This record gives sequence, C-alpha cells and structure tokens, in this order.
Amino acid sequence: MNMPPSLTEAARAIRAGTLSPAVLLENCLARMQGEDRDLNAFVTITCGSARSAVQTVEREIRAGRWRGLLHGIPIGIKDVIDVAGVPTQAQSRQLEGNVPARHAAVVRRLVDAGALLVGKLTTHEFAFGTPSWGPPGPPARNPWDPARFAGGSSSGAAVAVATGMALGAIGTDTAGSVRSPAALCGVAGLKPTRRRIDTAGVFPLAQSLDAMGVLAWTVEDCAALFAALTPQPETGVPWLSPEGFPLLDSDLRGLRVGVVRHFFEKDAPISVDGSTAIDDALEVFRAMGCHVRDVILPPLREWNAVGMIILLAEAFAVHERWLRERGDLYGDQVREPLLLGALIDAADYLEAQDHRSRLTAVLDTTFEEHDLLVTAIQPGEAVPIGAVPKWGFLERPSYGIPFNVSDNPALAVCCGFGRQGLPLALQLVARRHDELTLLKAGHAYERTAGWRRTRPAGKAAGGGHAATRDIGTDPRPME
Amino acid sequence: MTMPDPRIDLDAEDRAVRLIEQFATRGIRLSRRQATELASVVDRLHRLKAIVRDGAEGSEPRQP
Repeated sequence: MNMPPSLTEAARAIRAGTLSPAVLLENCLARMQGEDRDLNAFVTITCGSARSAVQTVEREIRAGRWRGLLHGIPIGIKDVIDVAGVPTQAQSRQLEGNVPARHAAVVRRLVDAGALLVGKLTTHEFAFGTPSWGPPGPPARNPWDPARFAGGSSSGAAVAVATGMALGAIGTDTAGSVRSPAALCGVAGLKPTRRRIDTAGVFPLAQSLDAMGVLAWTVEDCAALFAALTPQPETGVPWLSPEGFPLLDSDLRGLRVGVVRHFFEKDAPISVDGSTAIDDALEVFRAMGCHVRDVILPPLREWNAVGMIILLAEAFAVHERWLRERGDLYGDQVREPLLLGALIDAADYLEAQDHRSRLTAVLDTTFEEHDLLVTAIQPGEAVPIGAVPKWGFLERPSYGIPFNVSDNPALAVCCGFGRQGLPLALQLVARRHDELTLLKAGHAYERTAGWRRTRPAGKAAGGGHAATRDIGTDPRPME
Repeated sequence: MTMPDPRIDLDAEDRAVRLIEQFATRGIRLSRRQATELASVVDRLHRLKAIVRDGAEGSEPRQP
C-alpha cells in the first residue's frame, strides 16, 4: 500500500478533484483492518456512518460546494470526547453504556467542516496514569514497534495518524498527553493555549490544566486542524489562504530561540541520542538564521511538583463521588493515583496555584527576550509497554507539564530516530496565543530536516482486533 | 542472614492503618492492599508538597 497522504496533501487533492474522499476513506479503513489488530488505536470504528457521510461529501464536492480543507478528511476522536450516538467510555468501566446524545463542541466544528469521523481512539483510563490493560480494551501500541509504549494518554490518536488510519486526530493534553504520544510515535502534536479549542463535551481530567490538542503527520496538518477548530489567532497577520490553507512558509531569520537545556541535561537528563538529536535540530534553526542561546528557568522539578499537586487535587475532585460509591469499577492503574489526590488539602492546592503564578511570571519575562523556546518532551525512545511504572509520574518529572502550568502553546516535532530505530522529538513553545509563530517554526524545521520521509512499516493484511466495535449505521464488511 | 528491621514493618503497617482511617472519614473504603500501596508513595507526595512550599532548592535534604 502506498504511503498515505498528509492531511493537507489530501485536502488539496480533494479540492482539485484528483482524489475522491470515498477512495481516501476506504484507504484509511483498509489500514485499520490491516494494522489495528496489533496496534489497538481504535476502541470504536464508525465506518458505517463515515461511509454514509462520504456519499454526501462526494455529492457536495461534485456540485462545487467544497466546505474547506477538512471536507472529506478522515479524523479520529480520543475517547474522552463526546460524539453523538457513539459510546464515550474513557477506557473505563465507570462509563460503560454511556452514549452521549450531543457532539462535543470540537466534534460539532469538525462535522460542520465536512470531516469524516472514523472512530473513537484509545486512551489511558480517564486520560490519566499508565496504559490501561483491563476492560474495555487493551492499550494502544507503538506503530514503530508494537512491543513498545505509544505514549499517553492520547495514545490511539498518535498511532492512528502515524499509520494513516486517520489523517488527523483530536486529543487532550493535561500534562503532555498530546505531545508525549506524538513524540514517541513520530508525529506532530499541538497543544494550543487553553480554551483556544472549546472543551465543552470533553470528560475533564484537571480543569485548570486541561487543553484540547491536535495530532497529525505534519506540523502543517496540525495547523490545518487548529485553523478549522478555532478562530484565526489575534496576531493581525493573515495566516490562511483564501481557501483556508495554512500559510506557514516564512523567513525565520532573526527569530530569537531560547533553549531550556537544563531541563533535559541537568534536571532530568535524557538519552544521549535524544540530546544529540536536539542539538542537531538547533543547528537547523541556526542555519535558518535564528539566534539560538540557552535560557534558565526554574528547575523542572518545581514545575512538575506544582503541576502534579494541582492535577491530583483537581482530578480527585472530579472522581471523589465514584471513588466513594463504586471505586471497584476503576482499573488498578488509575484508582490509587486518583486516591492520592485526597491527601492534598486546600492549603496545599492554593499554595500550588500561587506558586504557579510565580513560575508563569518567570516564563513571561523570558518571552520578553525570546520568540520561541526549545526543550525535550520525552527522555528518549519508547520503552517496552510493560515497563511503564504505575507511579512513574511521582518519580520522573514531565517535560510537558510546565507549559500546561503556564498555559503556553507547545508543539512536539519529530527530530530523528534513536539507535533502536524509534522516533525522537523536540518540544517548541511560544508565547500564549502565539500559535502562529510556533507552527511556522515547527513547519520550517520539519521541511528543512526532512524526517517526514519515513513512516512506520505497516502490515499488508490482517483483521480488526477483537475489542474494536463498529456501531456504524450501515456497516459493510471491510474488504 | 539479615532479619528485616521490625520498626520499618511496623511503620509501614501503621501508615496503612492511618490511611484506612483517614479515607474512611471521607466515606472511601480502602482495602489493606490499597492502603499499603498508597502508604508506599505518600512520602513522594509529601516531597512534591515540600517543593511547592519551599522551591526545588529549599526542599533538598540539608547537608551536614
């Protein structure tokens, strides 16, 4: 099977009439059939309703009513986000039988844009903790090596777009949950400024940290999704063509890039390969004319402690009643971490929020002299899936959580491959609401570095995995 | 052969019992296994709280 197109390539071809959305959809469904037995990206495949919708899309496009760049594009949705008539189970027995009547706000926008919803994507239970092994389904696996961790918690989203089962995916990010799986699966993952994408209809993890996010094969694809899901950034600079395609090509000369090196060299050292890949990426930024220099922020452990205290306290507030009344319905890997939040009192929580303000002020000051920050997002290549420790979040600081604490937009971009042949990534961060600079810088790096020429090797054939459900309105057997 | 230090076991046991009581006041029943597991990570939670309170440097163990 040929390499799948990127989202924007597909959109241009659909617009030009050289690619049929029905053919594109069948291509994605065939990839699911071939790959998802091993990878578990989807908990529900909605191929019946997608096949029904694509007929309308084909008619509209033939009649000259192209709705924009998501028209006819297959998209997957993380299973904490409501799609009307499709179960939202958040990988938990707590939500068994939960079928929402309404779309989440983000799904409504996708549907209005003419996107084809191909299914609900695997997550960790309630988007927290480590891979969920118990019912309702197994964890997603890394498409570069199915014995490896796919990251979390938007794991199915990253796997689906890496393999071309979907051309874009919607996830959520509370402590790196879009950027980490994107990094480990070798795709692009954008966590915008909080509330840039509406969270209505999304099961919360920790409301003052939660952000929606998008994952796709390229940064340009992420920009396309972001553009479709939010009003244009208020920068005064037009960044979409009249047809709605992102205008990301730009001259980065003079861009001031700060490297938060102590996060990944001193505070929580990453692998040698990871560190080398980031240094190589910084050379690419220098070659593009950026001014690159190291910056010092408060230690990573401080950001992590503040973020984790807030996360645990807010998550416990969401789940307290169920923990009291039916705690046995949680999986072991998430119940005890949620319970830990009961040991955080109001004074601890308020102290963390106060400390959060101080950390954010330091970062804001740093952004007075820099346009972009660069740091790590993962310690290295993906580890074996069974080696992810349940209490790892208390042991090793997260490189993602600082920018949930500060609410800056952040982007994970592939920056090479390690000695085990698995993807490595860097994290780019911009000023609050300045997603445009972030996306332009990520796009320029991606184009120059050339890592998008390699995709995970897929299987030629196979069948859907046993736990995957198809609740489509008129499901046909997959060819 | 080294015998386990009984004080460590008693402390762990004591911590687990206290957690069971503490959660019971909020109407949450903890099994002994859950309480033991939580007791084993409570120190790490307190360390996070200390970092929030004192900063990463201030929470370092004091050098003699």
